[in-house]
Amino acid sequence: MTDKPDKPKDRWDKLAVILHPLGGLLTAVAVATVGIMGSQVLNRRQALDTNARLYSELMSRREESESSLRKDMFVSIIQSFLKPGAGDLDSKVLNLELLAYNFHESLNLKPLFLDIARRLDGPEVKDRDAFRARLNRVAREITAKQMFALEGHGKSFRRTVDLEELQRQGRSGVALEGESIAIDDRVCDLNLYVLEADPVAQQLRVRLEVKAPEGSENPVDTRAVFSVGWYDFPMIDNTRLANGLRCAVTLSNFSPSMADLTTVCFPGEYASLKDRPYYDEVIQKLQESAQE
Amino acid sequence: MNAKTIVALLFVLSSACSLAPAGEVYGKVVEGSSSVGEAAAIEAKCGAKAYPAVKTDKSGSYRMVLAETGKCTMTVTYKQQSASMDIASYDDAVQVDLVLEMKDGKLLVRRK
Repeated sequence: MTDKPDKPKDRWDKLAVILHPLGGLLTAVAVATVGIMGSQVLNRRQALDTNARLYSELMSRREESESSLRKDMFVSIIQSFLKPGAGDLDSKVLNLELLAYNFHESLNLKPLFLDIARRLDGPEVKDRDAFRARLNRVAREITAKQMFALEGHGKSFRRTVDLEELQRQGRSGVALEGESIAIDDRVCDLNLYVLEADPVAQQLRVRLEVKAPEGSENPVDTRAVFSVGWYDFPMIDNTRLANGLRCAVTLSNFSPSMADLTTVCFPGEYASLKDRPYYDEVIQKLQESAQE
Repeated sequence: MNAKTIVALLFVLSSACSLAPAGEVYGKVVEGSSSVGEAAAIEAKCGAKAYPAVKTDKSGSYRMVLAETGKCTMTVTYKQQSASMDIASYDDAVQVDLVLEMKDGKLLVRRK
């Protein structure tokens, strides 16, 4: 072994002496920076999660307390109708108004409206006309509110029925001008036939025929016969079509010689709270959204 | 109050009772699917009484008040052409949306 004389250090060797500890320092700084930033991101995400959890907890608590309040209110009001002979007509009409304004999206109130209307026909009823006007006003307001909401998401059309012509036609009824309705990619042809009119109850018996357009993938036709009066609310009382749409016919005006009907078709999601979708509809929608 | 005044009062009261309350007719006029804007005019005739034309507004909407209830005829004038259809006037307001179509150069109107 021979001793080599020390090679003189060039500028790279000198730079290496300086950069070697600096490299360590930079690594340490980089690690610290990543750590701090990572922890900040985690903290921010945690804060967002906490906020979301808090918000959903608050919402569910609010929902719970509102549901409980609505339940108590509903029970106390409905008892006034179910107890035989309980309460006078004035309080019954007031209770029905309360029910209608607060629960019109979740309950079919037609039986209660008809019950009160029947009681109003009884003998010795004072202020019969004023009570009937109150009932009809509530019903019309509820129908108008629901129509306003549904027309925003669907399509509607209006037709006039000549009641004198209907009387002349007898049992064959009167056909109203049809309408083709397209909502998103769902198209159907609607036809309305008025079969009977009850001028006293201000009700019409109608047949709704819904036909899928020719050449469509799902050519299922729907045909339904039902009565339409002031107490039929579109969100609650509607016909479910094969393509997931709902169609409702409402009475918008009635006079001894004429009546106006409004037909609205809308996606099933906007039907009442009591109207649950079929399982196959839900699965079909999930599949469609997965494909998108 | 003498007998003549009472008879006159009764006559005025009975005349007022026999008049049907006013019925409002309102709606929107579209051509195909687009609004006609201010380009259309609507007039109505109920029995012998004719109502002067009202112009549609920027959004194609119109509103008119008819004193009579029952069957009336509504005439729409658009692009120098006119088309008519029967409507019903009620004690309460009635919505009559109109769809205009040009077929073979002729204006057609139908209710939406």
